[in-house]
Amino acid sequence: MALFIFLLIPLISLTAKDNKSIAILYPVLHPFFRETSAGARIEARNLGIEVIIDGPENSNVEDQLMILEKYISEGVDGIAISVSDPEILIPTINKAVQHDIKVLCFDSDAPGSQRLSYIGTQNTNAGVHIAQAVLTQIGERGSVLINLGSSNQANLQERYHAFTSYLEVYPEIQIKSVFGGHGDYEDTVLQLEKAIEESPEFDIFVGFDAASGPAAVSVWRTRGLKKDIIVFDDQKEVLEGIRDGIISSAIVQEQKLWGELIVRTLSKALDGESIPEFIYTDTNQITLKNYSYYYPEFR
Amino acid sequence: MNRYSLKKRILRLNIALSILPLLIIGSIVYVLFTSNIRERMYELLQGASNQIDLSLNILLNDIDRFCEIRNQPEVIRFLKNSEIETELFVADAKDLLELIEVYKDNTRFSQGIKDIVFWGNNSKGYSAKTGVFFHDEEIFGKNYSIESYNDIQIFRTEETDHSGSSIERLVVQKEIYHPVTLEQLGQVRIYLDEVVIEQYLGSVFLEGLRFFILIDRALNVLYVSDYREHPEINAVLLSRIIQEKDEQFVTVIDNEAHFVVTNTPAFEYTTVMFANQKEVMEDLRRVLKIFISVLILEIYLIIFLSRLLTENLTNPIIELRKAMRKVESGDLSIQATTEGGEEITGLTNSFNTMINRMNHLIKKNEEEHELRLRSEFNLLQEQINPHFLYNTLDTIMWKAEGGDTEDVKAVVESLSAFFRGSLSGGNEIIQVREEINHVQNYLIIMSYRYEDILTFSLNVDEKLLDRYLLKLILQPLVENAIYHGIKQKRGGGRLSLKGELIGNLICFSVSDTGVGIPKEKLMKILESFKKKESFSLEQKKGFGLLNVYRRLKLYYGDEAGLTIESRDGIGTTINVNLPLREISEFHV
Repeated sequence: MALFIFLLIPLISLTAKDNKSIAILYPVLHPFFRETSAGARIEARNLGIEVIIDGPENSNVEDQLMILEKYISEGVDGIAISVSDPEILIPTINKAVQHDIKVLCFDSDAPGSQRLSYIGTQNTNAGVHIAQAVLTQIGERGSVLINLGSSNQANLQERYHAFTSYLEVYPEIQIKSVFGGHGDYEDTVLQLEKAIEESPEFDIFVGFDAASGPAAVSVWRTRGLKKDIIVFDDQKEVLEGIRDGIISSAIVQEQKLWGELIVRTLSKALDGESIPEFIYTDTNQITLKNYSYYYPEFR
Repeated sequence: MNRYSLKKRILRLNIALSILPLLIIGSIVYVLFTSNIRERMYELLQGASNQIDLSLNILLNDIDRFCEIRNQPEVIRFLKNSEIETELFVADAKDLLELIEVYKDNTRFSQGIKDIVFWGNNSKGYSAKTGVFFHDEEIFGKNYSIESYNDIQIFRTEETDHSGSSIERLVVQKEIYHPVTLEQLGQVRIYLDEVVIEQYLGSVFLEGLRFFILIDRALNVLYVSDYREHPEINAVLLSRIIQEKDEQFVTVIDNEAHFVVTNTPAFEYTTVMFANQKEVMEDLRRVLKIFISVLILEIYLIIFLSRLLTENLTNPIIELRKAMRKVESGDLSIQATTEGGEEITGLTNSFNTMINRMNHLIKKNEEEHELRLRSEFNLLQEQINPHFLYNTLDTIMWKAEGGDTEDVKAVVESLSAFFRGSLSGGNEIIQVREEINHVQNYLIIMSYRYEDILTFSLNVDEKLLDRYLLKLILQPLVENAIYHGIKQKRGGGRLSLKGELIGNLICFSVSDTGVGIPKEKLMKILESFKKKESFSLEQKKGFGLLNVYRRLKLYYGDEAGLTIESRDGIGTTINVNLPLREISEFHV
């Protein structure tokens, strides 16, 4: 689907327009977004657009809000934002739109806002993808530990709902414990350890946010656990976990494509072209068998 | 002819035999070595180059790992902090200092790190040596490239140290990007001492390798292995090296030929290896020197050994030669010493045997000569036997008294002829005619003496008369026949002498019709023939027969034969067979 959209977008290089600048705002400066930066910067160079990438050092809605305000006041031409908390941020997003700034959301949407478009994973599909991975891993019976991450984040909520509804027809799969590490590594480790102590008989751990993978690998390594892990995203620690056989599968998103799509879509919007409201990208399942194909540089 | 010529010849042969193969092998080795010295040199240089590349790659990997410092939060924080007030960044700077210490502690080349400098886009900088500094340079444009994220830049720079003198440093530079937003924040520069390269190269060793240089894409010399100034490595040479990259060639530096091998390892830096041809050839020269020394040594050794060998071989020969000289000069008492090889000993033994045989023959010859002389002397003495002379004179006197002058004249003439014949002019070999005349004279004399009892007949083949024979063979036999045969028989007897030529033999027979020889006596006579007694010991009786026999054997050897046939009371016949010989065939 992502490829489809990719092809739809004409590859005509736009005539360079001076002073066109866009800001890409992350909920947190997490390495997860590194590839998004790379994709955006490469595309920006090709299209002759200035890209500013920013975000709070630590996951913090207020900081993100402040940063958003800052770029609105600086008068950039476009803003792409991964919304950490829609409730808090929607007014400011709408304010930006009123300032004639082209705003789109990526990764995490702000439904109901006046943003032009959403670029990112179809979270329902992602939820189903992760549910299917669980079934492949443990079969139709077993108990599951879940880290939801930040419960306010829409993308995570959507994934989780899709996940649970997919598994409703498998009554023997029990969700033992659902906790939230708030996207913070330390917090996630603590919560995970607590959940394991409470339900030591679980079969698989499923992490929905970016912090889950590194935290689970660390806990598994320290405790010598042999149980399955399925997580989202492709941080370095997760790939190491797959390589070492600790993580069974990682459902990864196409962050780099997001970066490209952000710049391309905003550029089109600034040129007055109409753009679709939803631009979805795929998820891929990474396992021990295929990780070296997806990440050839990772040995 | 030199007396050492054999030695010299053997020596020359030995030297040729031993040195020729050595020279041939040496030449082949030399030709093989020199013919592919260039290829070998390039191979060796290539090997060394690969080794250097390996070491450099390890160094560059270590540097790369060290450069990961640029992704550390402390660095990012410091470079993102745009505060100018000291109080607002001092904590970040402190963290940075600690971080640098940690990194330095964990790297292999920390000793070679002279400084680490972070240049920020925020007009701040930090030097590990001098601390925080401010600059107003807009170092970086906004057109940074993500692709250059991992690019490492290495260049050479000149620095002034505290004393004011300039030091050349290698600078490794990497850009610093924010790890998430990939915003370019600045650069990190690591100032390295060239010792680092030496340290990593360890013991890259190659005979003849003078130096190698490391150049970058812009033909800047980054490093020259031996610290020496090489002004001759100029832009022209470098561009040629780059042009002929991946090729090997020879260039002239310092008026000396150098092999050059280039290699481009990772990071797109080129190593250029230089090996001095002269120094490489020095190797060959050393080998050659050793070879020649061995050759000379061998010649000495061969001369020495040959001497030993030839002396061993020629000394007996020389000894033999000396002995022969002495023999030449007449000394037959010499005996050559038998030393040396089997052949030489054999030769010497043969020589000695020959000398002995010669001595023996000479002695025998002398003896025989003496025997002949003595036998002849005895015989002659017998011819003038006083009895014979007295009796003959008596006969003459008696005839004279009887007035028988014709008879006297005949006897005297015969006696005179008889004595003349006995002497035979000093010749031992005479014609048969003379011998027969001699016998006839004797018989004439005897027939006058024994008128009543002796009759005789001479019957000699005319063909025989001109032949030669040993003198005084027949007369003693006739005398014997008269005295011991006819005279002893009552009524006398008849004596007949026959001579004829049968084949190659002169055959005489002297027969008498006397008393004959009794068997015992005949046996004694035959026995006495076999004895080898000296003439002086011969008995008077039968002297004539034995004397004839001995002389026949002395002069004719076994070719002559003497047989006696005798019948008691009836008579005796003595046959003498002589080989027919010309006068020249007699060995006197």
